[in-house]
Amino acid sequence: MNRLGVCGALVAGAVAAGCASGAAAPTRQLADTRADIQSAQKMGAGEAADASLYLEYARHQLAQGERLMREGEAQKAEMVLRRAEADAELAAELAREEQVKRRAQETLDRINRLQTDVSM
Amino acid sequence: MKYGALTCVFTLTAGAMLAACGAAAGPSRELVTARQTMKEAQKSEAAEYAPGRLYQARRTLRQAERVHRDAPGSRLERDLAYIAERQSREAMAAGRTAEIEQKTSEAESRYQSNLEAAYQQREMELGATAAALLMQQHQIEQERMARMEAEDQARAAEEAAGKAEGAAAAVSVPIDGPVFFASGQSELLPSGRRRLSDVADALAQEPGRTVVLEGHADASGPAGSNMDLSRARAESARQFLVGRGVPQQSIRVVAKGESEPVATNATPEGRANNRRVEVVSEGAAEQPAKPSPEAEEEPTTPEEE
Repeated sequence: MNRLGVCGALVAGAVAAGCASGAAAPTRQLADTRADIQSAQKMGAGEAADASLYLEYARHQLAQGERLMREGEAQKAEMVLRRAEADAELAAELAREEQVKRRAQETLDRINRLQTDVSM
Repeated sequence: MKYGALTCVFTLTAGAMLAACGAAAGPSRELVTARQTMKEAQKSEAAEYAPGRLYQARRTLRQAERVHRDAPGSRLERDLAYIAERQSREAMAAGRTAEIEQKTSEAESRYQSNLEAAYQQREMELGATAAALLMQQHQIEQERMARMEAEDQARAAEEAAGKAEGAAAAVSVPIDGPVFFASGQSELLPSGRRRLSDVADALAQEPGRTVVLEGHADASGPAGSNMDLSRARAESARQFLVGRGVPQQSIRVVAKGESEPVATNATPEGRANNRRVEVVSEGAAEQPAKPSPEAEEEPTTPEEE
């Protein structure tokens, strides 16, 4: 009986939260997302083809999240910012992959050149 | 107890949201995509090289599936599926990157060990070359010493022969005897030029006397080349004598090749004695008797043709 009562109260809260947000503004999520976007930019995500696409998604959703926060839609804002964060992290990882590929190719070229020199 | 309560809250919340907002029964487009991407990721390099990221993506996808069960097509389902899909892609990228890094590192290690092996090989070759050079230098020095010794002996024999000829012939220098050469060479050595100068002087005092120049070689190398070399040596001696005023017609040149050694060809000393031109005087009745018996015992005693 007691447990049902608690659940009922929570359901009511959840419904309220779903339709008109009364939750605290996701400032921490906002800061994390901004930091991830900056980090992806520094990794060169803006220059690589795939990475730049996801970086663009992240920026777009960051702007959307900021707007939702201003409108008091804290929960919606949090999920949009989480999506933006996931996009920014993917963009950073793709940019890192490009860098590693380039460095690996340089290393292999260098090895091939040196091996040719040694065998001569 | 706490977990049970939370599950209850989650379920009821999702149910309430569904009821409040309305939703379709099937999985959202985002969830379908997230499931496909997860399948790809599980078969990719991420499984081996980025298991942590893959685990995170799987966890988010499970959350999305739970929400889908309780509130199909909800915004939360779509958001979680979207995030799971991105995380799966991130895991795949991380797996590819880690694999590239590992392969590059392996290639570098292989190159490093190949390089070390090549250096060792070079060092061994250099060592062998240096040893061979030292051996050659040693051999050349030995041959030089042997040649000098042979020349000394020849000079001593000449002096002894000169003494034996007696006081009457005291001023004359013996004509017969060997002139030595360096290995493979037909040019006269300084000692050879001195010796032939003496021969030219002696011949000038005895007009009408003729000499035979017998060229010889040691047994190193092919017999045909040695025949040519012995001829070239005799020819060098002839040119020198002619240059010193000895008439052409009083000199005869004979090539013997390696056929008449005076010593063994197995040692540097022996070979030095064999590389020579024998000067043999002939055709002068007034020439004193042959050299003394002790001179004949020397290895440099001229061979009769």
